Parts: sequence; C-alpha cells; structure tokens
Amino acid sequence: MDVKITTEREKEAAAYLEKHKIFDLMRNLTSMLFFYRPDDPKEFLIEKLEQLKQARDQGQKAPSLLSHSNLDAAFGIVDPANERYVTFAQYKQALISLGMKDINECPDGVNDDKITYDTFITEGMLSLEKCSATYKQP
Amino acid sequence: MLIFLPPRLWLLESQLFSSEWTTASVPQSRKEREEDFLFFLAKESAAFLLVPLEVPTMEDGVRPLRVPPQMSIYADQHNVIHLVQTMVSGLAVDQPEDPIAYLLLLLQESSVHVPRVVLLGPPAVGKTTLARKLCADLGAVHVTMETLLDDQSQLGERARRCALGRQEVPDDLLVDLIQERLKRADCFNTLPCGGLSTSASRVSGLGSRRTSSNSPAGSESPAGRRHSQTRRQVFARASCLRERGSDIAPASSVLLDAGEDVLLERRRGRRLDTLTGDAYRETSARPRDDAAEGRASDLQRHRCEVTGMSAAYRHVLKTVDGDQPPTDVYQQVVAFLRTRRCSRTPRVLLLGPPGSGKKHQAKMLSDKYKMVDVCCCDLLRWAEADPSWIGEEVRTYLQHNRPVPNGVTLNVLQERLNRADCSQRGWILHHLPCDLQHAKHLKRSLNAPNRVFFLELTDAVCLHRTAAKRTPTDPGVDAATVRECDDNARTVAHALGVYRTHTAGLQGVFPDGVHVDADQDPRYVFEALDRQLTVQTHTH
Repeated sequence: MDVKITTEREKEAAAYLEKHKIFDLMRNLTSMLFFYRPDDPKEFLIEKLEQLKQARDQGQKAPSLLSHSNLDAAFGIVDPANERYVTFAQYKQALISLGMKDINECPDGVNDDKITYDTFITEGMLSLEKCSATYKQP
Repeated sequence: MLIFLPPRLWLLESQLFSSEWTTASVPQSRKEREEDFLFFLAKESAAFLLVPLEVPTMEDGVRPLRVPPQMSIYADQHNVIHLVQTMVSGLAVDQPEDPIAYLLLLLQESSVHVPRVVLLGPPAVGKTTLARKLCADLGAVHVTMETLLDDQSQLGERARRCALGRQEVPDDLLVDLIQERLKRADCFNTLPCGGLSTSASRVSGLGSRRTSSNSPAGSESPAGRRHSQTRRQVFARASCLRERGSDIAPASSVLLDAGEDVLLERRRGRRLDTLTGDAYRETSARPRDDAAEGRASDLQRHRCEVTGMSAAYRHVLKTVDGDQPPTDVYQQVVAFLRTRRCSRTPRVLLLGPPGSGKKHQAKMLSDKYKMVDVCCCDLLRWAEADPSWIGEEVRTYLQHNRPVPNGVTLNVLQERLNRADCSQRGWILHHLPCDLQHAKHLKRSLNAPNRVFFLELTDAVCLHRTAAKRTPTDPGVDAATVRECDDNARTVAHALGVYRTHTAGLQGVFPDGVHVDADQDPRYVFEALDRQLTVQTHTH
C-alpha cells in the first residue's frame, strides 16, 4: 500500500507538470537566465514571469530568447547560396535545432519542396509563440 | 525532495553539470555544420538552449551539447541550480492552479536557503540536547510537542483536550498547529530554526516555504503514548503528513542511532530540569525498576517505526551514531546541515610541495570521476603535438631552442582547459608552475578552479619521499648514479624553497582553498579530497 501512494503521487505530479507545461517554462527561463546572466537572477526571473503573466492574461507577447533575427540567421545558414528557398527537410531541421516543437508539417510550398524565406519566418514565429506560451491553454 | 519529478528534469541538471556525464560515442560527421550551427547561433546572439541535450543530426547520430564555461561559472556563483530545483519541487508538490503566480510569490520571498531539519531517534539518544544546541548556535526556534501543546490558540486547545483524554492528537490538527506556530513572528528572523518533536509514530513535515527564512529542526521525544504502529501505517502517515503539509517538508533529517543497552542506560539517568526544561543526565542515579518496562516498550516501538520513518525521509536522511560524546555528534550534524549535495563540473587544482603525491592523487581522482588529468609538465609536449595555432607557436620556440616565455605557457594552459573534453568532463590540474602570475591568471580566466587543495607536507618528509622515489632498489649502485641523485636532491630542495616562498601568495589568491594533510596513507588523503569535492558549504 505504501508503494502505491508514491506511484500515484508521482503520476499526479507528472500529470500536473505536463498540463501546465512546467518543463517548457523552466527550460525557457533557464535558457534566458544563462544567456543574459544577470547579476540578480531572482529579479530577472520575476520580471520574466510578470511578462509571461501579462501575456497570458492580456494577450501580449510572451518573453522568449529567440527572435526574428535569430530565425533570419538560421535561414541564412541553411541557405548559404542565398537562393531564398530551402527544402522541407532543411526547414524542419533548422526549426528543430532552434528548439521548436509543434512545427507545421504542411507549410506553403511543401508540395514543391521549396519553402520560401517568408514562409520560413512566419512558421518559425508561430512555433516560437507556441513555445513561449508556457501556460495552460484554456 | 525531488522524488516526484519526472526523469527528464533530472536530465536537465544531472547531465549538464554532473561530473559523471560521459560523452556519448558519436559518429563523427564529416561536415561539422551541425555543431557549428549551434555555436554560430550562440555567437550571433541567438539562444543557446540547454535542452535538447542531444542534437539530432542529419546523419541520425547524436552529439552531446557542450556547455560553455561561462554558464557553469554563473551557475556556481548564483546558485542557479538550487533555485531552479526549489521552484520545480515546490510546483510538483504543491500543484497550485496558477503556477506563474505561485512562482512569483516564491521568488519574492527572501531566501531559499533554508535548512529545515527533523531529528529522529529512539528515546534517550540525545535529541533534545542536540536540538537545543543547534537552535542556540544557528539561531533556531525549537518546536517540540510540549511547546505545540502550550499554544494558546484554538488549535492548541483542541490538541490539549486530546492529550488530556489520552488520545492521539489527529494528524491534521497536528500539522495545522505546526503551520500556525511556524508562521508566527519569531520564526521570521534570519535563519531561525524550528524544531518539532512528536511522538514516535508521527513524523510531520515542518516549516512553511512561505515563511521565508524559516528552518525548523525537529526532535523527537516520546510522548506518553503506547500505541504500536505497523510499519505501513507509519509510512502512510508520514507521507500523508508531508503531502498534506503543502510542501512543508524537512530539507534534511538526521537519525540518531545507538545500541539498545546504551539507550536503556541513559534513560535511567535522564532528568528534566524543571526550571529550564533542559534534559541532563545524572550518571549516578538509582535505577528505577518500575520504569524499566516502560523504557523497553518505548524502544521496541521505536524500532518498529524507524524503518517507516527512514523510508519516508530517505532522500534527505543521514544517520549519526548517537553513542559518541555529544560534541562529536553535534559537529557531524552541523557539518551535514551546512552542506548540500551539488553536482557540477569539477575544476580542481592541486597545489603542494614536490613529493606530496599530487600526481598519484590526481590519477586516482580522475579515474573515479572521469575527469581529465592535466599535468602542467606535459603541457608543452601536448602543445607541440597539437595541430592548432597554439601548437604552431610552441613549435617555433622549441625549434629555435628558445625557452618558451610565460605568456605563451599561459595561453597553452588556457587552450588546453578550453578544449571540449576538459570543459565537459571537468579537469584536475597539478604541477602548476609555482608562479603567482600563473595562479592569478588562472583565477581570473573563465577556467577558474572551483576546488583548490593545498597538500601540506613538511620539508623533511618531502625530501625523504623524493629521495625514495629516485633511489634505485638494487644494491649495484655506482658512483655516477649517486652523483645524479645528489644533483636531483639539490633540484628538489630548490623547488621546495620556491614553493615555500610562494605558498603565502598562493593562499592569498585562493583563499577558500582546502588544506589537506598529505603525510598520511594515500588512501586517506584521497578520501579527504573526495569528501570535499561534492559538497558545497553554505555561506550565509
């Protein structure tokens, strides 16, 4: 009986963490923390959490480490010849390397296997927003 | 405390900062684009994400991610890991509906360094004495069953009624009482420590996370109850109490243990000072045979329940032998409370006079923790063989038979420590040229050591050891070899002199270096070093 208690609690806790996307939240927060390396980590975290709270309540943009320029840079790496097109596999790989999940499997141009720069950026920003919105979706 | 976390979260810390993280074998990809891709992003002000730890490459291989040293240093400096741990464990245990608000509240509290202690043990093992001493020294608040019952509030009333009626105080009531007590003003001081003693069958969670700098130490004293609980019941209760106590749980618990006859003996001589409530022992007390039975049954009850309690607290438990003199017990407990296990990339510096066993210790430590053993004597040889720019520089000097200048050796050292294997697995550095400049440079750089050991050895022993190393064992020693030995003795003496002059300076550069007596058996020295590696002392 005592073994069951632990397992049930564990399951509950795991379910809770999953539901509220705690893992993603922590990953985002720690990434930002390690990237900016502020002198006062607590203040910094408080600030980011406030921003996240506002994003959730008022629909503002959630804080995230990546931005438009990063997506730009990523595209530039995958497309060194500056053709402004990448293949679907490259597009997917680039976004995975940036840490995105929930990538749109059918962006514009997937049939020709030619993802344009604009599509790449748009899809990237969408995924980014989903990644940063680390709270329970109502 | 981190019992309930899903395994992935362990991965985040333990794999990043653990010294035992071994690099996965990786099929080397021809193009290094994938690795470059990430480093490029890092440099071009993009995110360096800590997770995913494994980067899926085009060729379906995995490469372990390399953590830049700045991050490890930052993490050490600001105790980031502990902070994150506290946050996540709080969330996992409390499971609030609004995690963001909860975290905000948590972070706005002043300190997260709160030693909360429960003292467990059979009757008469010395818990009360220990608890009082701890509270006096750490500025703690000692919470016991008696003080809880004396509480003037409504809850206290109910508890008293139960106690008077010879009934068990129900668990919920007890936990409420504890929470109330700990929320009171005197528990809000900097680093107060509250103790709780309950009957042997109940081990409650103590200390609310909300009451910021609050750390209760619990001690157990037998109340007048004679219920024997089965192990399962006890464990169930302990877990329930801990859960119910909304993430109030001790951060450390100490189990004092001693043999039965010792306990019976002590119990006989136990008296309670009526004025101060201190327990003291009369060694020459007439045995009271009528109470002997009571003692034995108490002990038996404790034995039944101790397994349940230890299981409930197994993650933070330390067992201390209660049969030692009280000062020893106290020392051990304080040492335990002040330390906190932390996993980090080890960067160890071993300093010591020639003959103190640095090479031997370095080898043993690096075997155990899979660190890279960097010997400064071999640095130049390594640099010569290295194909990169630093190798070029060193080779030019060596080709022209010129001594390599200090600046270049410093660069070689930095370069070696910056290599992937060193920054991932950690390193242990020894035979540093006894130059203050080297030491200061090292400390200022990104590769500052996080553990410095000074191996202490007297001059006579140094000379003896180095002589023993050099003397050939066979009796056919000719004059030439003896002369060589003398020369070497002079070199050693010179090196020793140099070391001694620099010691004070080195100690100034590394003020938190640990001094270890190297005049013992190498195994003992190794153990001493080992102990220091994984602990981190609180500095308040």
